[in-house]
Amino acid sequence: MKKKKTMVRLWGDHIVISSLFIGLAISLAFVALTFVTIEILAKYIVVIAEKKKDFIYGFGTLAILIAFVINNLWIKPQRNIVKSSDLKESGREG
Amino acid sequence: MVITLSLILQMVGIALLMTALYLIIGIIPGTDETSVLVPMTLILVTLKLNPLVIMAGFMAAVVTLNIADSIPTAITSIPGGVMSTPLVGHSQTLKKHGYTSYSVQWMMLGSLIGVLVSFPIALAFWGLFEFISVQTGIEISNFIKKYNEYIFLGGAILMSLTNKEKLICLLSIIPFGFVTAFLRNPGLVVNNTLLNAFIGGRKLSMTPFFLSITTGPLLFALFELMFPNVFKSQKVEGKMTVILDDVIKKSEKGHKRIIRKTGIASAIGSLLFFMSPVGVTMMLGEFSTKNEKDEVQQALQGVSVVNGLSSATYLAGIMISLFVFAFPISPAALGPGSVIFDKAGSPIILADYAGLAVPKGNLLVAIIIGLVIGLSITVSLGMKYSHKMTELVFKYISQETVLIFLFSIIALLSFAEAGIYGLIIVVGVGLLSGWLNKKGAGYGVQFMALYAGGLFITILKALF
Repeated sequence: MKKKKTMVRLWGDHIVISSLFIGLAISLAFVALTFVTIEILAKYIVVIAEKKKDFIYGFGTLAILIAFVINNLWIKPQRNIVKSSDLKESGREG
Repeated sequence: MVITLSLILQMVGIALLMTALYLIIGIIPGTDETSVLVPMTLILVTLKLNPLVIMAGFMAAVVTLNIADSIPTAITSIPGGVMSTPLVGHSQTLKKHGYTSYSVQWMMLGSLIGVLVSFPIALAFWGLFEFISVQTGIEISNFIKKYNEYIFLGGAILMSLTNKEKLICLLSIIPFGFVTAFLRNPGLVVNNTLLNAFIGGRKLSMTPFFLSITTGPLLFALFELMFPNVFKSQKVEGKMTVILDDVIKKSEKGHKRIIRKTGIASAIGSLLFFMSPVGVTMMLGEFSTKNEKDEVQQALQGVSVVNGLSSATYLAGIMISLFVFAFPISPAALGPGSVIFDKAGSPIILADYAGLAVPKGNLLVAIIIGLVIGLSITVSLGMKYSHKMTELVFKYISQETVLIFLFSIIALLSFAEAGIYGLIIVVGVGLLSGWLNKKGAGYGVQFMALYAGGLFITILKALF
């Protein structure tokens, strides 16, 4: 049997706690990778060393955006969407 | 600074990007305006983009978020953000009578009226103060800069006295201001070898503190889940059922009255720029619809007035703070706009920032570009596709990914600024700020206490 996910209400929506933390770990891993890569490259490339902070902000943001897309692929919204017109029709049929 | 075609294209580009981003974020339920606006604007600032580009992006984000927040409120009765909470009652009434789509249209028009009314009022305010300054020779922004910490302290006290939880607000000012000032520059108060080794003689900028305050309530809500009783009360089973109302019905009467009331309320709201936008929206929103007997008319007026007010108070608050006082005098400038002011309260985008001194006239161009792009895209898309947009966002964008996105931006900014120390500060001060927020001391009081913090250290040093 499939294990039930633990859900809580946060910021007016239902969220799966485990997905939040796993997704956060993925996103932060991307950010950490960016930091390490830029730190290493800064040792060999002068331009990067001179503008290290700018590179970190720029590529860090890009890494977060990539992580956002990846996370959105596997974390599904916990919402059931019902149209009011469908509700009325099923009410009439019922 | 000369505005070139390339600069205009950059402004347009960033305004389009911010509009697209905040259209999605705005529709996602429950997102707090300040929490979602500050991190992205801070990214633009830290990327050292041209100040005009930052301003265009920021203004597009503000208007888009204000409008987008109201879309899910109308369609699902779930508020898209804090500012759209006063809309819930009216939108439920309109939903009951089958006017959901029609209410979205009036919300959009309300926002448009709010912007169109508050913009000339802010300009008139600027013109009036420039005239007084020329006639009397008194430069109001210089005067304010000279006494900024005292003014912030006075502002924090005044804001506390107008708050529901007066005592908590007043009691929080000194400890919060002191703690943040100490953490920004610990070496100023304590000379400890271990502490010095840890912080490496760092003097922090305001960045980690902005992030702490703005994301505090969210951090605290997550932290609270560690307590079994809170966890039990917040635990839910199954998915959240969202009913999308797709019935289309229109009312032909009372248009002029709705427009008139929205215009008047927006004008009054703009003049009350120094007060809390949520408070003004609640108060004037209720007051302007009180005499209407017809339930549908009252609700239509309500949604239009509330949206007009929220756009007007935000815009006037930020513009007057920038142009007249050159200092974050309004809660809108202190909260969502905090990033565009530096630690002394001066607007970084007017100062010699990134090697560019920006004339106010150029800044006005950036504001207009941001407003026009944000408004035109959001209003036109919202009028035609509000249902489709809500359905798509609700279906494909999860709340978890938005929270992860925000937390990651915060981690990036705070770590890049001050390493582990920055992260510890964001989490620690964020929890304190979130707790204070829950107890009733809102963003405005906390930001004012943060700005006034240096004064408490000076007093302490003078005493001992």
